[in-house]
Amino acid sequence: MTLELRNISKRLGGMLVLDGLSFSAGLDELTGIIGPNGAGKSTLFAVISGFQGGDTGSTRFDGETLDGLRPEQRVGKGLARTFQVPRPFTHLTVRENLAVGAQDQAGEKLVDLFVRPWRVRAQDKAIFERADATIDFLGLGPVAHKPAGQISGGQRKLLELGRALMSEPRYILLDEPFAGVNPVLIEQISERIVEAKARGVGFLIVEHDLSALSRLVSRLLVMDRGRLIADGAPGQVLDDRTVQEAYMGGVVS
Amino acid sequence: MLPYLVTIAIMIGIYGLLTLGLNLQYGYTGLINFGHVAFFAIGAYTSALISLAGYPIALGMAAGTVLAFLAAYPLGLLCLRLRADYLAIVTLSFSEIIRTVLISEEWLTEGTQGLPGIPKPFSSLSQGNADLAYLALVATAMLVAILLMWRLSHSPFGRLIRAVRDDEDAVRAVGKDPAQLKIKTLMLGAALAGLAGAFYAHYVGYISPDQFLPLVTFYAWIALIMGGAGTITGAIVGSSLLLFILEGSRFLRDVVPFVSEVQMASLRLAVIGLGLVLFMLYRPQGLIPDRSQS
Repeated sequence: MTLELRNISKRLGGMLVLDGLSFSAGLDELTGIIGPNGAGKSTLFAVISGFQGGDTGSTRFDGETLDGLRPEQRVGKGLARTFQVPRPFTHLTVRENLAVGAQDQAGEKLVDLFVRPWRVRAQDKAIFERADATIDFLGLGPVAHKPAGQISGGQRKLLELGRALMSEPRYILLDEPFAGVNPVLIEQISERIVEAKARGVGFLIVEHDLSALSRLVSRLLVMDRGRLIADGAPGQVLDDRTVQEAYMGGVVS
Repeated sequence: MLPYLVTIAIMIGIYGLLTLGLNLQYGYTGLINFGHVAFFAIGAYTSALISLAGYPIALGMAAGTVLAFLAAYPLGLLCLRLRADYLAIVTLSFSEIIRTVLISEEWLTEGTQGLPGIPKPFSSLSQGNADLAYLALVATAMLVAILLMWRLSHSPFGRLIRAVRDDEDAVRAVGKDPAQLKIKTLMLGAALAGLAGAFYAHYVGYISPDQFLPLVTFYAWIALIMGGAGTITGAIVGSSLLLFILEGSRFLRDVVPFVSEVQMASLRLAVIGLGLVLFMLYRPQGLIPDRSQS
C-alpha cells in the first residue's frame, strides 16, 4: 500500500521545477516534505493530485496508475488534497462546506433528487451527522453555522482538513497545514492528524515549520530544485550537512 | 384598465420564468450567460412552428422547452471548461447566431417578416376571459418552476452548485466535476427560457427575429440584479419591478411636459438607465439579497 512516484518531471516556463523525482510513501504513514521556497513542493502536490500534468513519469496509488485521471477522479480513488491557502466555499456555512466533501451523494444527481427524494433525505441526514462529528473532532462548533468566508485563518485550515476528511480518503496531501496558524492551534491540528492516522488515513505533508513537522512525521523527504536530496527519519535528516546547506541557503556557510 | 393589468401580469410571468432560469445559472452557479434570449427564441419559434403546422399548442410548448434544453448542451460542452468571461462572449454570440439563422432560414421562419397568426389557447372563450385563463396557465407554470427551483436550491445539488460559484478548483479537490454541474444548470436554465419563449409566442401571436435582440437577455439581467441574484423571490420581485418600470415609464408622458414623443422614448430609457445605476450604487445586492452573500 504505497503512493509511488516514478521519474516525475515538470517544466514550467523554461524552469525545470520537478527533475526526475521518484519516491514511494506508505499509505498508512505520516510523511513530511520540506525544502526551500521554489524547491517544487507545491508543483509536486499539483502533479500528484492531477491539477497539473507531469511532463514525464508516472504515479501509482496502491498499485493502480493515476496517470491521465482528472483531480476529481483521483479523489474517487481515495486521494484527497488541501490547498496551501485554504479555499473554503465562502458563501456556504462551515457545516455545508463539510457536507459538500461527502462522496457519491444521491442528492447531487437531478434524477435521484426528484425520483428518490426519501433516499436523498436519509442520505443527507447521515452526511450532516458525519459533518457534525467532524465539527466536534476539529473543534469548529462555535462557527459551524457561519459562512466560511467569515471564519479566521486558523479555522479555515481546520475546515480545509475537515473537508478533505469528509471525502473518506485513504490518503491526504496536506499543503502547509501550519502556515499562519498560532502555536496552540498547531498542536490541535497535529493531534487531529495523529488521530486521523490512527483511523487509517495517511498523510503527505508539505510544511515550513520544521519543529512541528518533525515531531509529527516518521519520515522526512527534503526537496531542492526539483530533486530529492535527503530521505529518512526527521532527526537524522535534519543533521545532514547537504540538507542544512540547501535549506539555509546562503545564510550559513 | 383590467385587460392592461392582465397583460402586464402575463408579461411578469414570462419574464419571471426567464429570470428564474438566469438565476439558476448566474445566481446559484455563477455562470455568466449573456445569450439567454437564444433559448427564449428557440422556445418561441419551435412552439409557434409546431402549432402553426396544426399540432396541439401543448405539444409545441413542450417541444420548445425540450429543444431549448437540448440546444444548451453543445454550448455547454464547448465552453464550460473555459473561464467565465469566455462563456459570456460565447453565449452572446450564440444568441446573435440564432437570431441570424431565424432571419436567413426563410423556408422555415419566414425571415424578417416573422410568423403571424400563432394560435392562442382558450380561443373558444371571449378575449378577456381567454387572457385571464392564459394568466392562470402562466401563473401555474411559474408556480411549478418556483417549486422546482426551491427543491433544487435546498438540496445537495443546490449546495454543490453554490460551491461551484465560490471555487471550482476546490470543488474538484473534493471529487466533483464542475463542468458537468455547469452543463446541467445551463440546460435547466435554458429550458425555463424556452418555456418562457413558448408562452410569449402564443400570447403575442406574432413573432419576428427583431423581438429576440440581446436586449431581452439584458432585461432578464436587470430583473435579476434589481431583485437580487441567488434568491427565488429576488428573481420574481425583479421581473415585476422590471415590468413596472418598463410599463410605468410610459405614463411619464402625462407628467413630463414640453417633450416630444421621440424625446420621450429616449428619456424613458435614460430613466431606466439612471435607475439601474442608482441600484448598483446603493443596493448592489438587490432588493431581496441572498443572505449568504456578505
